[in-house]
Amino acid sequence: MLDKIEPPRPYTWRSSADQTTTDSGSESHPLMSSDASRRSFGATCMFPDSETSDFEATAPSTQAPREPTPTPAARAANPRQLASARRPFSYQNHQDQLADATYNRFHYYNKLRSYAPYEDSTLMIPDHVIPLPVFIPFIPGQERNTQKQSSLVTIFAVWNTVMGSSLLTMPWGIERAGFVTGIILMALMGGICLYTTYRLLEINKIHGAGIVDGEVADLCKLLLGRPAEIIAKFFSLIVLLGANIVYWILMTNFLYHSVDYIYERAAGIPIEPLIMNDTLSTLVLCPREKNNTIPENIVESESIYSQVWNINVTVPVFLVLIIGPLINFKSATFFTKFNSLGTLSVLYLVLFVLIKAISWGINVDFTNVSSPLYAPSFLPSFPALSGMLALSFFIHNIIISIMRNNRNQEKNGRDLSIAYILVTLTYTFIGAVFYISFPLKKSCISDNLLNNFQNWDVMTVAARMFLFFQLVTVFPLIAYMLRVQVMGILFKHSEPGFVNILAFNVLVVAICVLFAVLLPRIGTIIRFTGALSGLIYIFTLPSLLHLASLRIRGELTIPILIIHLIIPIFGGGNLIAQFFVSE
Amino acid sequence: MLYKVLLMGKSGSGKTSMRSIIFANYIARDTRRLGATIDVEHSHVRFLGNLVLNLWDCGGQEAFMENYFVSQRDNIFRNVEVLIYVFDVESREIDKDMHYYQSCLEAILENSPEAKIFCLIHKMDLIQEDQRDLIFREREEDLKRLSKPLECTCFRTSIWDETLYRAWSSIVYMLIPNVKELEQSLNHFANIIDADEVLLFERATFLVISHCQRRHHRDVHRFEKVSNIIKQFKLSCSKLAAQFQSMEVRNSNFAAFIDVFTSNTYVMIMSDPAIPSEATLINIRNARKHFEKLERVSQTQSALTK
Repeated sequence: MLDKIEPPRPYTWRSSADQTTTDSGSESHPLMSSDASRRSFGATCMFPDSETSDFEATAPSTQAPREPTPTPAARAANPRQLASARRPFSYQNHQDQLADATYNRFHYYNKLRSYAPYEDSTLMIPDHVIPLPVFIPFIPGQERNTQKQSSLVTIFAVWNTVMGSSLLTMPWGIERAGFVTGIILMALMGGICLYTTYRLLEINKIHGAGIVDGEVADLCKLLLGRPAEIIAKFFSLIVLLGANIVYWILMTNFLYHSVDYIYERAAGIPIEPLIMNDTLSTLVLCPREKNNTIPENIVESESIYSQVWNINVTVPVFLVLIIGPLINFKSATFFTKFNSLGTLSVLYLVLFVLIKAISWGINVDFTNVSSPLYAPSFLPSFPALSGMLALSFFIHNIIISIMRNNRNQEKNGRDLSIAYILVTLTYTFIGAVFYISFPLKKSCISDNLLNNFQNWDVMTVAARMFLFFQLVTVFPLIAYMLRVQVMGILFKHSEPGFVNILAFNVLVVAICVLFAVLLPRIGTIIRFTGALSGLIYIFTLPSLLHLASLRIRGELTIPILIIHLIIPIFGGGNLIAQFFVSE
Repeated sequence: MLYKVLLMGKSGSGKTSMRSIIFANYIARDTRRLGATIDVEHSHVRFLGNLVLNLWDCGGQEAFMENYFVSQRDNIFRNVEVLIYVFDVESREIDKDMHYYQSCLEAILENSPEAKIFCLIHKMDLIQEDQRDLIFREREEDLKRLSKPLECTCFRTSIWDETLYRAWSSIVYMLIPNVKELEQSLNHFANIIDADEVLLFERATFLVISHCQRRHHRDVHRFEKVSNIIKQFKLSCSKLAAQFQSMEVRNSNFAAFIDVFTSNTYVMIMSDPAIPSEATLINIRNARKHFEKLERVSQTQSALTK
């Protein structure tokens, strides 16, 4: 029998190895030396599906396959059915034969290792046995761009993330500041936010290279010490909580009006007649003055329905029934699938404003003080806008993570600027266009622009329903992020139990409901949240980090110091001013 | 009467891995043993009818194990049919290894002088390719010299190439008393049934005992591959408490039959798909009787010679 078996041929794959940079003259050493590489063979085992070899048609999963592979013969019921009509065992060269034999052994030995502990390296394939075609060439000095995003995607991601709840509040903000002041403030705040965001990225580039998944808090710990890190983490939570509260109020609003609409349709209640002589006012409301203009022939019906379904009292609580179950999931990745709804909602709102503006025409008078359409250029309540914008342009707590995935890191500054310009344009468009074309007194503009429309206006109904659904998918995500961060601080090393999660969720929901019942004014909430977290994240931390970085590098000069200390003062002023704003 | 196949060698030379691969045993949790393997009680693996595999660590550091080994020496080395001694080619204590090997040989000479001796120079994949032959020849010379008056057959092996399978197949081949007759019968059988190839596998290990090839096949590794695949399948079957018995695989190019043959063997027939299955199965059934008779004759023969 020994004569019938051909003598083993020398391994020829070594010769192709000579073409690589491994030094073949010395003693045999593995091509990769870390233990991690041993594991990864199982994980990345993608034997090249060349025309010559006949491996498994399905790629092995990330775990080493546990089930026996059927013989290639058994699998290929009819070779003509295979796309390339490969005959089994049709190897073109010896190298492929050896690779296939190695794979066969690897497969079998892996099965034998089924019950061995993970650390046990018995029968685990060593690096020098892995056939050469399996390796992906690693050329040192060149980064593997497998998971990076193009600039366009990054810009879009930034734009999408910044666009948030304050879109509906933008016209109100411009109204509070006065038109010209509003536009100037928009540009100014956008510029400052862009600058400080850019600073964060630069600091991360210099100092954050060693930190895995580093963010602002990590940079603070590195450059400013532990207290700064704690502050950074805390104020990041404030942003999330503020967003949650605003979303809850918005959801309450949308839910209330949507159900109201359906009820009125179903109950056959006629459309509200003219409140004023002005035809335009049939289409647009002034919620501020609603209490003063109820005509006698409309009786406020104290029906059971309006007692049960009350925007101020009961709907926030009813919302708990819908949202409650959704926030108790262990992982919120399911809700990330609805990310695209956010973009759609922005586009819809832009369209909405455009259509309404076209139907209203331009209704603004910059000079005549007594005209009902008078648009002041400046109002002392302008901090409302600056406070709000601090939240509108807020992305500082995750910008580093987003930009990390940018393929061309050198273009970070450019991409960030483009994204911010787009954001500013979008906000300005919605705010200014709505403001200019709004047919009633400018002070009627509500902090939720949809409140300015009648219940039966079709586009508004659609907007409310759609936005309600969108917020229902966003709220659990924000709540989840909030929960994860808080739990991470409280339960550093252990898994929080279900009771803890439930307790936390109850607390968050209770806060949201309280605000929705007692202070359902999103304008107020947005501007205070914005000013507070903006003071820290937009103004103070980036400036201090920049100064600390310069000091370490010995490049700190007095002018730079002064400029970067003025910025936080500006932020502080912004916060204090919020208390003196009249709404 | 059960005869032993002793698998011996220094601790860590690769015996357990070898046993696991050849006999398709799962690697157990406790491969990092603190002491030497006392495997006698656990080896239920029988192969070639009356052979049982015993694993022993030789030359362990623990005095306790040394004493046990020494005191049980006669017991261990009695009724040994085969001694397979495993040398780790990368070992730094070659002299010590040789010393332990020699003491084993002495024990064999005393207790089972008829035993066949095989030396495996193992883990050859760790040696650079162009040096393998050289190093193997050196070791082989030394071992043959040391083993006198006993005769040893040396193989170089590695679990990561075909050498392990071949070495063990050769060993099994040498253990079958009337293997030439078996081969002739197999040839005859293949011609009668007009098969492309007929393989005879040992039942427990699926090592190829003999094969008759009537049509050329390019894949030189096919025996080992088939063996590995079937052993995996057997492992899966055993999870369901089922026992693998036979298999038929067809496509438009060939038909393969794997079936129980004799009490110690499996047969694999590769034939033209045009031949209907029933015909081949009948042929196998009829051939079985003949080969079983052959086996019984050979067993009584070997029993008589002992």
